[in-house]
Amino acid sequence: MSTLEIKDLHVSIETEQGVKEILKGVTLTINSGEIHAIMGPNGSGKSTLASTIAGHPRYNVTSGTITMDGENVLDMAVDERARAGLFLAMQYPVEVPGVTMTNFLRTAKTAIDGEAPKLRTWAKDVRSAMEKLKIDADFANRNVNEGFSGGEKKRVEILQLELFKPKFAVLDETDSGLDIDALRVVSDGVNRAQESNDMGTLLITHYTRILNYIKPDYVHVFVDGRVAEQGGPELADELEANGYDRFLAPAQA
Amino acid sequence: MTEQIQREKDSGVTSDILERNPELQGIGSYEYGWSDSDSAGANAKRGIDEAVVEDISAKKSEPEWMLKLRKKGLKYFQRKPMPMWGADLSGIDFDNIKYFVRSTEKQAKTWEDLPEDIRNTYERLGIPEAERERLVSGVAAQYESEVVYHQIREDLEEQGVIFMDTDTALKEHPEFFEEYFGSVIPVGDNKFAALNTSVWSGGSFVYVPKGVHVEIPLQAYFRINTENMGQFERTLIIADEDSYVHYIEGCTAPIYDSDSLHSAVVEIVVKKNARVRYTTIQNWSTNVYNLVTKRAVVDAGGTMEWIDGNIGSKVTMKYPAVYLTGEHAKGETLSVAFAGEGQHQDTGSKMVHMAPHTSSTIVSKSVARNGGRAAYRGLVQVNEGASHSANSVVCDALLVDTISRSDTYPYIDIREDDVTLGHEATVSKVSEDQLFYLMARGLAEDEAMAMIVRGFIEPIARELPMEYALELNRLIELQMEGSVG
Amino acid sequence: MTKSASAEQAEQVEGVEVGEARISIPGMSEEGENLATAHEETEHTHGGLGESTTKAQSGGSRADRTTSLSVADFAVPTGREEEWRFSPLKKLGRVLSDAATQTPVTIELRKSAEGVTHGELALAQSPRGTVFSAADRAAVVGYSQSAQADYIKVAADTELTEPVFIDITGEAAGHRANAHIVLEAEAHSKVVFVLEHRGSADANLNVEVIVRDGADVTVVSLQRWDGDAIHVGQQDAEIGRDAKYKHVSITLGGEVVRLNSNVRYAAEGGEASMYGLYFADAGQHLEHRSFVDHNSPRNSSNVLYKGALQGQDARTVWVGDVLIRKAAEGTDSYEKNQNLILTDGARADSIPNLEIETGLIEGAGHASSTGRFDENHLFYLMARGIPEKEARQLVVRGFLNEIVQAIGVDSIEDTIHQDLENELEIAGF
Repeated sequence: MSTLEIKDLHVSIETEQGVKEILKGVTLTINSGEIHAIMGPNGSGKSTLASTIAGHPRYNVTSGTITMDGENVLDMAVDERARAGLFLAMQYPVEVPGVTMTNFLRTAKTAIDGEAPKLRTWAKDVRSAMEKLKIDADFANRNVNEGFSGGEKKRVEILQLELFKPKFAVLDETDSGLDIDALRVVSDGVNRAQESNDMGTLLITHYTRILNYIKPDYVHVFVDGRVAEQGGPELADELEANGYDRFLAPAQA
Repeated sequence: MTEQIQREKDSGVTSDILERNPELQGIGSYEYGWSDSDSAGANAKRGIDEAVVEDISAKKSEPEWMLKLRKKGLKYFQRKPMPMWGADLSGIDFDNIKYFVRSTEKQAKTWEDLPEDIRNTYERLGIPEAERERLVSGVAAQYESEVVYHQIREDLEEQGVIFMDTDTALKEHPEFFEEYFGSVIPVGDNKFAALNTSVWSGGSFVYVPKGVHVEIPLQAYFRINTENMGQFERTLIIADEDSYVHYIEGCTAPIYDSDSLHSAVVEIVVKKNARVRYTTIQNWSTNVYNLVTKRAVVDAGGTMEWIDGNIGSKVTMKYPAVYLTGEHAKGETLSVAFAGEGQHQDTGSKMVHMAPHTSSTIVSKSVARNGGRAAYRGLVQVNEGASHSANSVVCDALLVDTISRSDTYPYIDIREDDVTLGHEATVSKVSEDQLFYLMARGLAEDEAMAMIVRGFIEPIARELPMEYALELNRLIELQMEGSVG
Repeated sequence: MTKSASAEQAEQVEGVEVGEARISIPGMSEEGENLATAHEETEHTHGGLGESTTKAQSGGSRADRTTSLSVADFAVPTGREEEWRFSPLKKLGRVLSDAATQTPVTIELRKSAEGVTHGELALAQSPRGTVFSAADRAAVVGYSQSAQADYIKVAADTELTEPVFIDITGEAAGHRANAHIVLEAEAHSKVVFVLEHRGSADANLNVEVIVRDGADVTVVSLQRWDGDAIHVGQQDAEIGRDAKYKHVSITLGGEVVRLNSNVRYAAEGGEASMYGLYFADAGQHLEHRSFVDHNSPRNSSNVLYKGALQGQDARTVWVGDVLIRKAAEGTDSYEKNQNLILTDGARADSIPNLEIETGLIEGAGHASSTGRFDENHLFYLMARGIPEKEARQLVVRGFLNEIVQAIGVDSIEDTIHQDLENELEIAGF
């Protein structure tokens, strides 16, 4: 049983116009086995939260804490966070020319586990995970994300999620740009990882569509850099019906 | 089995090999920097004049015409100015160089026959092992000025393949030298080719008869041990019609306080429909000036491939050339240069199209870090009459930090209308997003950086024989150590 | 392989040839490559690769190139210098000598406009010489032999809707003419200058463009010389903070035209675009050299030159230097040159040099291509039912049009289109 705890998190970035505060006091606790959905309009800071948890250098934490089982996550380098069991499925996975998926997956797995995976079982694990996500076998020989379509990139992110078995996963708009079939495949992958690893999940999304496939335990509405309201799955239904207007009005006032 | 092949295509094969051969791990800094005792080199004469040239020729009991060419070479060397372009060569002191060092009186037939210190050197470099394991079908080992060991597989010898050191070959097969020596790279081609012609010693001679395919590479290994040594090997490769050969050379030297000079000449004659692949992994220590002239002339339907890895040396200026003289001849250069602290790699290639339907490609990749300087300098020339020729040049440079530099000097000279030419170059730095992505997957920053760099040069590493690809990747990891922060 | 052994060349020792006849590659002698046939003016070989006979003045890096306003700093070129090795020095001799004007070119403002003044500047009179610094022998003698420079200034905040046409007319073929023009656009002004060269002369004409902060300046240099004109020139610009500069060079006429277009930056936020279009016919030598000196941070540049060649000994040279200096962090730069060779006997040289001294850049790249047509384009058009001849015409016009469009002045574009049509008719396109 693990806990990821975010307390009063303030984050800013440097822009051409000076420093801009994006997260204005976010507090959130995720336990193993729980699925939290974070929903909010564009520009509300959802992706900033995801990138900050993973430690992207662009984002400066000005105050607040992120801890995992009491350990200070903010003190960890990006790779240390990954090795500690944090995983970020990125909204825009980058291309890495010349590095094949096979090589990349094995190298990352070795780094996370601290030892090389057993060759025989590893190859089998990769193959079967790829089959389940309906990723064509020849992707293994292609370079990381190079020439992949948006949907292919997302599937490959979930492939990593299944193979690396993190304690906590942050899925940053993993549903965007997916058609309904792909959405189902990707959701199944997340659910499999959730069940087999007792993973804690932070699901960041703009639309309620993905929540038909991945059932959240908690829903948080994110507006203007903080959690405006939280509740159970019923909150998502309300958003589906009424949109974000109710939350936007006071934020703008 | 298919999985095996699959994996070997993958650049990740390196990590597999390392898994199986843990002894390859844990390599320190430049690992070839030790030196042996140096009794032969200590007594060698410094400086160059006609007496030195005559002495070398006499020691080798050469024919008169070779001495004549040597003297011509000396004349051109003395007359020609130093190149004013490219790298800074002002550190070369021609009067302080030892032009000829004989380390052992006779060539050995087995490794055991070699003097112990020389044998130890090659054991440490892993050459005899490669031969025992049949990774190569012939080996030549040059120590200082002369080849001290050479061996070729009997079956190849029976097919008429000749692979021996150039000095011996001149005695045993003079007819090839009378016709081809200095025919591809003229005596006075440039200052350093002229110098080589005047004092050349050692190197390899390869002849592959008509229709013979040498499937496993021939290998030569060049080692400088003496401080201020000048190594001037001379290599001549003749691939007769429809033949194939792959020649690989590796180079190392000890680290001394003052500089050595390596100035080789490599001439290659590719006859009709023959194919020659020449692979170099140059890892000279960073006090070696490496100024090499390499040129191939290719007849109709033939193919010349230069694979050129430049990791070491203080300064390298090297532009392997292909003269496409017959229809449908092909030239290809794949080069990768790595410039670290204090290094200047000025490398590239030259393709000259002299007949119709000839094609050439140049792919160049360079990585500069820690103040190193990497330049691509190339020429593509299409002569009048070389219609329907095609060429493409792609050069990519990767800058790892803010203090290194990368230059591109692509000369393109077209005198024919019906050709297709393209040149593309990009310079990129390692992006923060790439690093973040890999680190977010658990890789430490230097591992992530090394992975990006390996990926960058992967298209070239892929073309190398396995053990060389491995070597290249290891060298890059060494180079990248401490590149971060 | 053919051996060019002849009785005179034979030189044998013990029956073995040791002379020139050993060499198996045509065009090589005992001294290596001999490309003299292509350079009748000099015996020089190709610099850069392996032949150390080159005595280039500089180490090759653009950063080391001498610039100066003193004639003493530049020797008369021999043809071995990197910057002269492609040029027909015999024909250029008359414009390289430190000689006075015989018959001046006339320089006239086609019409006056509010906010535009036309005056003169003596040799050391500021702002003359504040931006311009000669980078070769031609530029320095032209500069120092022009006692009075034409000075055309656009006042601050002036936004001109009509181009400022400057007619430069050569009055006597074979007569030396030196001139210097200073174009200054004060802060936040917006102007298109059109320098239109016509007539004939041995012209040594330099231009100095001062783009003050926030200004938006286009300089179009049209070379519509008569067939016997010689023209050398250096057109330098310095770009102020957040200013825009566009330079378009269009060379159609003249026997030998050799233009250097250079740009550097006074501050940050500057944007430079340099375009060129040249069309060389039989016997013409058209040489364009551009140099973008990224000497300060966060500026951008884009260079695109296109050329077409037709006829015997039509010759074009393009050398594009981009130097990103150590201080120039955040630079974004690209350069490209494309040449279309329409007939046999023409020769195009293309050298995009890129030197980068810092890794902290946004991007840098270059590309160059030379050839006949993009066969894919041709195929696509023909697959849509367009006959081959028409498809070729479309491809060639499309190729050239990209530069013409960059001018952004309809009246000039129309006349250039007409000129190009006339050129294309020669080769039957």
